[in-house]
Formats: sequence, C-alpha cells, structure tokens
Amino acid sequence: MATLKGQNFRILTYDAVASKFKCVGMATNCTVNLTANTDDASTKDDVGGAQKPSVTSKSWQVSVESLNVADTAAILAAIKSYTKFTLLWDETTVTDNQTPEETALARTGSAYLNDVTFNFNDRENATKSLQFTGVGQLAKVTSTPSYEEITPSSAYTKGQFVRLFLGSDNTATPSRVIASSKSLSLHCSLSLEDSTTKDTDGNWQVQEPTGISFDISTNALVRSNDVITSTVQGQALADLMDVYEASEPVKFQIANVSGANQRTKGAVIVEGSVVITALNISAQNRQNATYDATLTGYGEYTVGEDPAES
Amino acid sequence: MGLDTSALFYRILSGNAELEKLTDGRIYSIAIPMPEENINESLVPWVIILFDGLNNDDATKDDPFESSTDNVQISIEIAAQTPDDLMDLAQLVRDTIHDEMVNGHTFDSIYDYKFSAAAMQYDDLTPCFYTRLSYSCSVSNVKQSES
Repeated sequence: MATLKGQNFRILTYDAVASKFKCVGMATNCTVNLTANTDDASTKDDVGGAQKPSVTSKSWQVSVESLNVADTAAILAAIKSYTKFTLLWDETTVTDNQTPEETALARTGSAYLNDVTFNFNDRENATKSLQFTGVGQLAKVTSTPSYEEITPSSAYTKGQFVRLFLGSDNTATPSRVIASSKSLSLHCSLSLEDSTTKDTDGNWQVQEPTGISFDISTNALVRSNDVITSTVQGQALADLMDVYEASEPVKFQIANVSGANQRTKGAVIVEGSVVITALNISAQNRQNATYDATLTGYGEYTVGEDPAES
Repeated sequence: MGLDTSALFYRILSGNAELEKLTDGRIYSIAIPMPEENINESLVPWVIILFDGLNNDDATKDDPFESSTDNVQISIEIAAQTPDDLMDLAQLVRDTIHDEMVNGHTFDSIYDYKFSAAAMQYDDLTPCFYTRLSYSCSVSNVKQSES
C-alpha cells in the first residue's frame, strides 16, 4: 500500500458565490491538528497510581502555507470582518492533485481564519500562511463534495517588489521606503475566546472572535546616513530611532514598487498606522550590521489592492 | 571593481621594491603569465596572483539586480628554494598587502578581507617549496548597484 503523499492531502475552502469547494491554490504545506482536552477521572477507588484521562472537549486547527499572494486583499478583508469559513480536507486524485475522493480521511467543518502572515523577502517568492481554528464539530464527508478545479498558476510575486513605506508622523502619506531592507512580513491575528457553554451540543469547542491585531516586521542592513541621503532616499535606522523615541504612531503603507532601486510606489496593498515596539540592532564582527524592527498596528488597517505579479 | 581585484593585488606586490629584488622580478598574474623559460629552467622564487572567482552577496530590496558588495577570492601562490626563503617571502607578501590596506589608498574600495594560508608543500620536479595565500575580499560593486 502506497503512502499518501503531501500533494494528495489538500485543504479546500467553500466558495459561497460558486457554491463549490476550491483547493487553496499554490499550497506548499498544510497541517491539521486535532486536540482532545482531558480531565483525570482516576479516584480513590482505583488501585495503583495510574491516571484515567477522560475526554471533556475537542478542538481542531488547520494551517496552510502557499505561494499565492494574489488574494492578499481578500484575506485581509476576511480576517478583519470576522469571516467564518467552511473547510474541507480530503485525499485527492493523483492525476490532478485536486479532485477530492471522499475517502475515510475527509472531514468538513466551520472555522475562523484567526492568523495570517504574508512574507515579502528580498529575492524570494512571496508567501502566505493561513491558520484556521475550528468552531464546533468536524463532520465526516459522506457524499462527493461539490468542487471546482482551480487553474494551476505560476503567477509569483517576488518579495523585493513589495516594500514598506513609513512616515515620520501620523498625518502625511508615507513616501520613503525602509532603506536596504531584506525582509518584510505582515502578520494579522484574530483573537478567539472559548465560548463553549452547557448549551453547546457535543464536546467540540466553540470559539467567538473578540478582537483583531496586526504587526509588521522588517529586517534591513544598517547604512550610514550619508549613504542613505545621497543614494537610497529611504528611512534609515536613525530615522526609525527618531520615530521610536517620539513614541507616537506613524503612517505606513505596504505597496508594490518599481523603478530605480525599487522605491517608486505603485498600488498600495494595505495602509494604516503603527507604533514601533521593537528595534533590535545586531553588529557581528566581520559581518554586515543589521536591524530588526517590529511595528505594531495602531487602529484599523485599510485594505488596498493585491500585490502585482513579478 | 570586483573583477579587477587581482590586477590591484598585482600592482601592489609588483610595486614593492624589496619583493621585486627577492624574486628577481618574477611576480606574475593572469595578465602577466609566467614565461616559458622560467618554467623550463625551474627558476625560483616566484609569486603568482590568481583570480579564484567572486560571488555577489547580500543584496537588499534597494538593489535591482546586484548588491553593492562582491566577495572576491584571490590566491597568491609562492615558490622558493628553501622553507626559510618561502616563509620570508610569504611574510613579505602578507605584510605588503596588509600595509596597503591600512595605510594606502588603492584599497579604498575594499571594505574588508579575510586571510588564510595553505600548508607548505614540496615539489620534487622543480624542485622547490611552495604555498598558497588566500584572500577573501569584500569589494565595492558601486556601478552595478545603487545609483
């Protein structure tokens, strides 16, 4: 009996418009975590010291990693509006890696998209990572799910063509990129609270969203101010230190870029305000000095357009 | 600049009068190959500067294609009659490069370098003792990067 290969175990999401399930496109990995919470049911009546765990509640989580960032706007809008997804996972045929086969592995259920990370790293394909947390029970799939094939795509977005623009205050539209940046990631998180009560049927945990937060991380080489001013015209470490010391929110935009040194702003993907919550400088002997900045979202973000293909 | 680094090393070493005298002018490079008579007559000592390639490293989002730094590998092969002569010659080559890095202007575009040396070996055909000094240089690549 052949071992099931990763490409033939796929996560599908329900498309309400098409009334069909579709595979998460350009996926590279997925994980399904099924967890059981237990109470020790051993008592003084039991001889010996062994535990007797009894399952009191169950929960499940699904995560998917993908090279597709062409749906960035939709994903950011979905997490912001507390959208509940219907998920399905199943073994798929080896001929197209997409057609669900209604195997004994197949399960479906509702879940909140509660954690999203987009990575736009220099000279790498942009990636996204989605995490769903189940709400209520998982059901066995008893009939062939209605699904729609997706067209295999090679429309990658290279990380160097998406950059972070950061302002010096919370009023003006930011016009300067983070100079000499190497990596950029945008992380959004939906807080979920366990809302399982005695009214809840079965022992599956039920979650309800309570709030949203986002943060941005970037890594860059440290350049001297002279070099930044004369060549790159971007925000250097010293500028970020000024923002950090001012302790005030500043405007940001994550946008497509083009032109010389990739700093001409194109379509804006997401914008809003952030405060700098961490600046870590690393200066290893005989290596380029670098710094990592963490910017925590201040208020709501505004969703723009999807990243351009590159 | 990265591709010219071996020529710079040649200029520095051939400009050192003491080295010129010790080697009797036998300082060579890719552009100035060892003459046939030197090979036929097994004349030592000699110094050869070789370009061992480069890699363009640590690009950032500011760099459209290439980063502003090349990591250039330069080797200097040295041969001499006796182990003592070889060590003296290798030390002189090393000091000459180091002095230029610290005090000279030729190496303004070299940010940094790492030095290593191979074990001494004996060639019984020539016969001579020989070794290889290796330099890994971080060199400016301004033309290809930020404008």
